[in-house]
Parts: sequence; C-alpha cells; structure tokens
Amino acid sequence: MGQAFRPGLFGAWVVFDQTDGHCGFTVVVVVSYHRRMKAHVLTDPTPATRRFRQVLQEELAKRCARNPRYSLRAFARHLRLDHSTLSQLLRGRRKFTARTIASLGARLSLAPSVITQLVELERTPPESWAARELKQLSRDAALSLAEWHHHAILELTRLASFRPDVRWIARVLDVPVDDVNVAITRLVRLGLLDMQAPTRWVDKAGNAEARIDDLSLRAISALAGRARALVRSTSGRPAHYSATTLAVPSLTSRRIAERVDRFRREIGELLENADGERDQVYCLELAFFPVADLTPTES
Amino acid sequence: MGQPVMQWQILARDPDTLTAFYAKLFGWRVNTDNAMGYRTVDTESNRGINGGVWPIGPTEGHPLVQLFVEVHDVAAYAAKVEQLGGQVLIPPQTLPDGDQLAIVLDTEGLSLGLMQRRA
Repeated sequence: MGQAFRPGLFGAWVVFDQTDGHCGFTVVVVVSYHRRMKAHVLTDPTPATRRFRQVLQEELAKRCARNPRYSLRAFARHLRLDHSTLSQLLRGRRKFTARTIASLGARLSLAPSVITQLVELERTPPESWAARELKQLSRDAALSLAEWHHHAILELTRLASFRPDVRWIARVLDVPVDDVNVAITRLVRLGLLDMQAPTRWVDKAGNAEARIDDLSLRAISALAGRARALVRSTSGRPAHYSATTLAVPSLTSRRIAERVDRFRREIGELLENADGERDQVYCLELAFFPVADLTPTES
Repeated sequence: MGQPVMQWQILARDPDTLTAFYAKLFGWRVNTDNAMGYRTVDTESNRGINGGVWPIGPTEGHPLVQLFVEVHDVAAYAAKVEQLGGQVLIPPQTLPDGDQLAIVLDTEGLSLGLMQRRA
C-alpha cells in the first residue's frame, strides 16, 4: 500500500489569457464589493499621506477589532454624526470640509498639527488615493474573475453559516467542485481570499472595485442564465430580473451609465447600513450596452 | 531533519479524464473524500511517493507536474524563496485539514509547493 499523505492542492500558473473578444459591443459591467468597514483595515506606511477618510476607516477598524459588536452606527454616535453621513464620508461619496475634519479630528483626539496636515492633504488632488483604491483589482484580475461564482464564493465567506468545504460551496452555488477549486485558486493567488485557519477563510477584497469595458460576453451570458435558473427555483425569495431594450441618444448614454453607477453605490450603502446577520448571497448585475451596430456603411 | 519531497501534483484541465487514465494504466486509486474535494492519488505501492490532481481553468497556463516539499515553516521558506530570486505565486494558506501550503516559482520558473503538515 502507498504511504499515508494528505492533499497538496493549488495549481500555479503565470499567464492569464483573454479568450473572448470584444465583438464590437461597448459593455458596461460593474463588478463590485461593498464591505462592512470592519473588514476593511487600511494600512499605509506613510501616515503623513493618509487622507482623513483613511484615518476614520482605520479608527473604525480598530474599534471593531477590539469589540466585534461595534458598528458604524456606534462610531457615528461617537463622532456626533448621522450614520448615513458617516457612511457617505467613509465611502467617498461626500467630501470632507476643513470644518468637518477639524470637528471629527477633535472627537478622535488628534493633535492640532495632525488636523492641519489632514486639512491640507484634503485640498490636494485625490488621484493617487483613488488609483490606489482601485488598483486592488486590476483589469487582468477582474477579467479572470469574470464568472459569477468567484464573487459568490467571497460573499459566502461572510455568512455565519459558511463552511470551508468545497463540497458545501459547490452544492450551495450549484457549481462543479472543480470550478470552485479553480476559482479558489484564482482568488487566493490574487490576494482576494485568505485561508487563515482550517475553519476561517477571509474575504480580502475589501473595497476592491474594477470597472472594465470589455468583460467577456460569455461571462455575462452565463450570469444571465444563472439568474434565470435561480428565479425559477427560488420562489418566495425576493428577487428581480429584468431587461429593457431602448433607443438612446448617444449624448444621453453616458448620463444613463452614470445613473446606473449611482444606483449601484446606493445599494452598497443600503447594504452597509443594514441590520441583521448576513444569511444570503445575491447577485446584482447591471449592464448597459448597445445591441445594434448602427455604424454608417458606404453604399 | 531535511526537507523531503512528499508528493507530486498534476495540474489538469480535465482531472476526471486524467485520473481515469492513470487508474486504468497503473491501477492507481483516487479519493476525493476531503474538504477540498482534492483528488488524492494512491499508487498502491510501498515505494515512491503518492500524489494528487488539481484542476486548472481553460485559459491558465498549461498542464504540468509539481513537486511538494515539506518544510517546518511555510511562511519562512516562502520568504526565503524570494530572497533567493524565486517568486511566491500563492502565499501560505491553511487548508481545511490544518496543513499549510504555498506555491512558489524557482529561478527557472518551475512551480513547486511548500507544505507543512498540521501539528
């Protein structure tokens, strides 16, 4: 008989290929994660360049680490802010004024010199911070995670009922075990999933967000098929799936895309402030793209 | 104490077909009864080492064979790989059975696993 041994696991590769073409479509797909801030511990080795938003996020993360029951609402109460206002500030949906920084900085017992520095920093263009925030999920990474179940696996880890067992994941997502393992390997390799202990898998995507304009149409099609199947099989569970085809003035299409993006963010904020333990995983899919090729041709 | 090669692993596009192939060819026994659904391969021999098969996606590299080396500290060896000019592809992870594992590249670009049995 062969000697006893335990599984090894995980493949390794270097090259990612993109096999699906663009097909002449302009596809807007948003792949996003909205996280409770306690899961988003930001670190920056140079405190002098930290923006005030980071300072707040880090402080919230520290408090949540000390007290698992600590919440955004509790932090808002401490800061004497409305929790929705704090949420908007933390997510970058609302700008900090010098007055706000001074007020909140004092509530956090920051030194006046630090507050002055933070006010000055807030006046500088935010490109570098924004770029750093978004680069967490590169274009290649986003493309490699185009299939819906990658994101679903990350979300599953957030459930109280999560079981770090691929057979369980495969069953609840109705995805083959091999597909789950390929996805897990990608997620781990990209640093989006961390298997920290035998019973603890941590979604490390944080506020990762990627906006890509040439996501595989195959992936979109697969997701749509999944949605149709689930809508049929999940009677009684709140769900919505709809598609509308519209004639759109070219100049308006950008505004529509922006409005769709705004809607997505609102959903994220709603989720962030939602009470109760997370016990379900949903997919919110938003796509807006032309379906007709109206490029003039020579007669 | 040394750092022995403990097992081999094949990365396969179609693991079912591959394991069926080796089962028919050599009589190797495949078992997936573990939390990762990992295909362990028992060569049914007292000599040599056993292995396993792990799936890869259709757009990711190509099928290959990896060796798994047992170390006493996966994180430390992963750091050592980078010091010596290698690369860490998958940082140390703790598997459901308690074993630790990292995947690294050597200076030739060959991938290998660093593994540590659960205490």
